[in-house]
Amino acid sequence: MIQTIYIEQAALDHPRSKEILKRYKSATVITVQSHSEIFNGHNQNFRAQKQSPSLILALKENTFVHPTPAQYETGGGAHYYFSHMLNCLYDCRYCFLQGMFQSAHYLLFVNYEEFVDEIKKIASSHANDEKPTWFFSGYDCDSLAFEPMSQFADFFIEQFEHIPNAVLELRTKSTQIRSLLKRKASDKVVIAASLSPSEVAQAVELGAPAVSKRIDALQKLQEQGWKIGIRFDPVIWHEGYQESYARLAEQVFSQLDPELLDSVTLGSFRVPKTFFKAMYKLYPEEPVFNFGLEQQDPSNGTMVSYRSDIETQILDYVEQLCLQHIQADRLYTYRSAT
Amino acid sequence: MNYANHRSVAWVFATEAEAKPFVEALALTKQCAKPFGFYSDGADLDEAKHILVISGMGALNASMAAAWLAGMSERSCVWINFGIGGTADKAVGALCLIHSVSGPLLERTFYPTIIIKSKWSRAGLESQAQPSDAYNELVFDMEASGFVCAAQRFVSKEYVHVIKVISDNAKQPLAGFNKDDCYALIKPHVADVVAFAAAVGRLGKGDLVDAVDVLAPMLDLPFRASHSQKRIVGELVYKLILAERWDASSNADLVAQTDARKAIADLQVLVNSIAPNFSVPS
Repeated sequence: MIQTIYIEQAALDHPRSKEILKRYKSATVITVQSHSEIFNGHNQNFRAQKQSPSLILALKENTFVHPTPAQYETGGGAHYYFSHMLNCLYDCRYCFLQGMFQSAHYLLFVNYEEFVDEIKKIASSHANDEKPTWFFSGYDCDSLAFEPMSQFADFFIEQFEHIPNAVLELRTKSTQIRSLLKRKASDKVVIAASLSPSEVAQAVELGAPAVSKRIDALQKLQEQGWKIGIRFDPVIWHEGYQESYARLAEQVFSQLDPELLDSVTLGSFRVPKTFFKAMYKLYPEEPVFNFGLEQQDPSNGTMVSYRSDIETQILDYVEQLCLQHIQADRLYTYRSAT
Repeated sequence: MNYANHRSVAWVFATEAEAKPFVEALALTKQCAKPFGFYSDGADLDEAKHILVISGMGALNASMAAAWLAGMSERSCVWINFGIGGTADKAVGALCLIHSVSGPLLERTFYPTIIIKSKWSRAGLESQAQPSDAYNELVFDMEASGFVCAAQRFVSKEYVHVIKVISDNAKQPLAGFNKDDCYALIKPHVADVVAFAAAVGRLGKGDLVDAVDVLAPMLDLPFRASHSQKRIVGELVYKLILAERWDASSNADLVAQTDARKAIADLQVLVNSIAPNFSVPS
C-alpha cells in the first residue's frame, strides 16, 4: 500500500503520472524538483524502508538503454537492458538491488516513449544483424509485478511489434499476467521467469508468489503461445540442493513443454564486493551471506560469489538436470570464473 | 557500541511548556539545566529509553541541543522534534506529521522517510527565523530545520521525525497563547506520539548491533592475536553460532589452541563445511 508519492515537478503533467495518481487517491503527494532528492541521498536504511516503500514518479534523462556484459546472452544477437523502474515489489534476500541502491522506494520513470525512441535507434543500428537484438527488462525491478499500476508490459509489447529485428525479454517472478493473456501472443517477446526450489523461495524470496503459482502462470502463457524462458538464477547452494533442484526441474519440465521453451539460463550467486558489503550489513544474520561465499580474485572483477568448488558443483548438477529435458543449444550457464 | 534491544527516543523540544506533558507521561527526571535542560528516564544514559532536551527557541539552538544530546548517549536513537506550529487552514489542536522540512541551516529540503502509518494529517514545514503569521499551506515553526540538520548526522532518515500540533492558524492567531494553553493542546496527543516513536524504533532492528563487535571481545582467547585476527575469529564463531554448530566442545577446542593462525584455519574448515538449511519443518 503506497502511503507517499513523490513526484518530480516536470512529471506532474505527464498523462501517465496523472493516471497513476488516480489509483492512489489516499496517498500523500509531495512535489520535488528531482527524484535524486529522495532516491539518491546517503543516510538511508534500505531494510527499514522496505517495510513500506514510497513511490517516486520521475522523468528519465540521459542514457535509457545499456549494453549487457558479453557473457549474459540467451541466444539472441546484441544484448541490451533498460530499466523503466528501479526497485522491486519483492524482497529477495540475495538481490543485489539492496546493495546497489541507497533507497528501497520504487522509482518509476513515466516517459516510456523516450525509452522506446532509444530502443528503436539501437535496434536500427543492428537491423542487418543475423540474430535479433535482445532488450532485457527486469534488471533493476520486476517486469510485471507492478503491471496493474505501471502498464509497462502492455505498452512496450505493443511498441516492440513495430521494431524490426528486436526482442523484448521480460524478467519476472510475478504472476501478473492478465494483460498478457488479454492479447495475442507476440513472437517479439520472451517472458523469462526466475525460479528457485520452493524451500529456497519460501526462505529468501520474500513477498514473491509461490513457485508453483509462477509455474502455473507460465503454463497459461505457454498454452496461449507466449515464448517462455526459464531462469534458474541465482542457483542457491543449500543442504539438500540436489533433491530440491531435481524436484524443481521435474515440476518445470513436466508442466511446461520443454520443446517450446525459448531458453534456460543458470547462474550462481554473484554480486560486486561493494554491493555485498552493504547487503551483509543490512542482513548479517542471513545464511545465504554467511556460508559458501568468497571474494573472487580482484583480477576477475572484485565479485563475491560461491567458492569455485561449490559453484562448479551446483551449476554442473543443475545443468545436467536441464539437459535431460532440453537441448544444449538452448541452455546457457553463467559462471563467475572466466 | 550500539545495543541490540531497542533504540532510545531522543526528544528535542523548544520550550519547557511544550515538553512538560511528555516529561510527566514518561516519568522523566531532570538531569541538568545547563547548557540545556536535560531529562531522562534513568541515570544510566546507555540504558535510558527516553532522553529529552529543551533547546530554546530557534533553529540554531535546536541544532546545538540535538548535537549535545547525541553526545550524551551512545545508544542509537529515534529522533523526534515535537512542538507547536502554525499554518493557514488546519484546525487548532490537529497533529501534523511533517513530510518535508526547509529553513535556516538546511542547504536543501529534508524529507523524513515515513514508514509507520498514522492517522495524523501530513504537511510540509518551513522553519522561520522569527514568529510569523503570513500563513500558507506549510506549517511554520522556528526549530525543525535546525533539528533535522543535526539529527540526520546521527541516524538515517527513517529515524528522524518532526511532529507539530497546530497552535494557530489564519482564523485563530497566536495572540494570548500561554503555557496552560500549550499544555492542554499537547497532552491529549502524548500517548499516540510516544507509540509512534516506539514503532519507528522497531524498524530495521538488524542494523542495531554488529554482532561480531559484541561477540569478539567475549571470546576468551588464550593465544595472542592481533585486532584483525580477533575479529576474524569472532566472525567465524558468529557463523558457527548462526548454524547452531557452536557448543561447549567447540569452545573447548578454541581455548585449547595456542596459535591464532591455526585457530582461524581450523574454524574456517568448520565453517566451509556448512551449507544453509532451508528445509521446511514437518
